[in-house]
Order: sequence, then structure tokens, then C-alpha cells
Amino acid sequence: MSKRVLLADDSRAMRVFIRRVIEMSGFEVSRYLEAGDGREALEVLRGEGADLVLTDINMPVMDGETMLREIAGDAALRDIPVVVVSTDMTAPRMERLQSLGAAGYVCKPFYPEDLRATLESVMELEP
Amino acid sequence: MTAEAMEISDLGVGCAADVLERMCFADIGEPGDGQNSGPYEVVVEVAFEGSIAGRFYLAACRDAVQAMAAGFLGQDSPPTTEAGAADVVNEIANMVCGATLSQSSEENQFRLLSPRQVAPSALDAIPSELRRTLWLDEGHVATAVLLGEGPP
Repeated sequence: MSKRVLLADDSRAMRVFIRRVIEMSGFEVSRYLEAGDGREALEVLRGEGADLVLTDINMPVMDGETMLREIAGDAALRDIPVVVVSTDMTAPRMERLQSLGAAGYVCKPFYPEDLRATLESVMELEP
Repeated sequence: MTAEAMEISDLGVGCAADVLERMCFADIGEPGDGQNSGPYEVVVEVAFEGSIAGRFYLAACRDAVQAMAAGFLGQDSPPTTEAGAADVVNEIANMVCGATLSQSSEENQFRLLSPRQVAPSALDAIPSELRRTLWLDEGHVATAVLLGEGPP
């Protein structure tokens, strides 16, 4: 089934890169939504919705961890899988992300295959 | 010069090579490749603070900037627009800095400030012992890490 994918990253270049990897991987995506920070991403989720979120952590205005906490606390959003794509994958950070319900992690830098494998794994768990 | 600064500088250039190979599909060559590719035209500074504080620098000559941007954005032939290329180099600097600090210690807790382009002369203030160089087919890229000098 075709998915609506939200890409949250303050770098437009990174959003372009991730979108390119998803397209090359052959996932069926009906629509790409984009946000430059966590607050904007929440507005998109509450307005248009999405089936999958890929987010950076280090963003202005609202970082990815705070956004994840907001999603976890919102009954209407908490079932949307969130994949974190970040350079900051230190042990304390990973533990916090896990406790907030992140569905997957991809550590930058990554090979396109790494992202594809994580997305396949997350999609398989989808009902 | 502390041993920690030297170690992190070594780690930084390794992380830069990883980023360029994995995400810009660049070939890292031997010293000498691209040696005559001109001065560093773009220098990006990423300040970081937390349990470790300092500044990371990524510098690239013009042709290397274009090669990185084209590889990252998936465009077959340069030139990418200047704004597009600048965004790519900022993001690469951000990734290299984050990866370097994450790998330097599992316990590091840090926050990266937004990357910003600075004058190429900023490199002159960095001790040569802390600078590292990578050679791409298209030109050269340098990295440097200064510890103890966080955000202004």
C-alpha cells in the first residue's frame, strides 16, 4: 500500500538525499511531506497526517527528541512509526529514543542500503 | 597540543572519509590526487557544546564542493547551484562533526550548533598539527577540530 512519508530535517539537502534513497529503493510512496523542524512536523502530522516519519534529532525550534515525546503523548499520533536518522547515536540518546517509542534508527553517515533495510524492517511490522 | 585533540582530529578525518564515500559516493585517493585543485574556497564551522565543547571545521576547494554536492544530490553533472552546494557542505560538516563526537566517547553528550560558513582565513588560526587532508579525484578536503572553544 502506498504511504505518505514525512521527512523532518532542517537540511533541505538531507531531505533530498533521503527521498532519493526511498525512491531508489522502490517503496511505494503516494506523497512526500517535508518539515524543517519538530514543531513544523507536528503541525503536518496533526493537519495532513502521515504513515511514516523519518526525523533528524538536532533541529532548531523543536528537536527530534522533543517531537518524539509529543508524538508518544498524543493518542492520535502515537501509532505512526518514527525512524530517527541522526549522527547522535550515543548510548544515552539511544536509550531515550527507545523509551519514547522510536521504531528504528539509522546512524549518519549511512549507506543507502542501511536506510532501505531499516525501512523494510519497520514496514514489515506495520499492520 | 593535547593527545585528545590529536586523537579527535584523526577520528574526524576518518569520519569525513566515511561520509564522503557513503553519501557522496566519492573515491578517496592517495595524497597527490587533486593536489593542484586550488585553494580552499568553502570553510564550514560547526560549534559544539556539552560534555565536550569546541569547533569542527570542514574545508573544500571549489571542485571538491561541486563533486560533493553532485554526489549527494544525485545530479549527474555539476554545477549545482551555489546555494544547493552550500547546503550540502553544511550538512556534510554537521554529519562529520556529530559522528566524530559520538565515536570519540560513548558517554559524550553534546549539542551541535547550526553549521555556518566562515572565511577561508579561519583555517590559518588552526595549528597545522590538528588539520587533516583528504584527496578526492576532483580536489582536496580538509578537516580540523579545536577543543575547548565552544560557541561564541
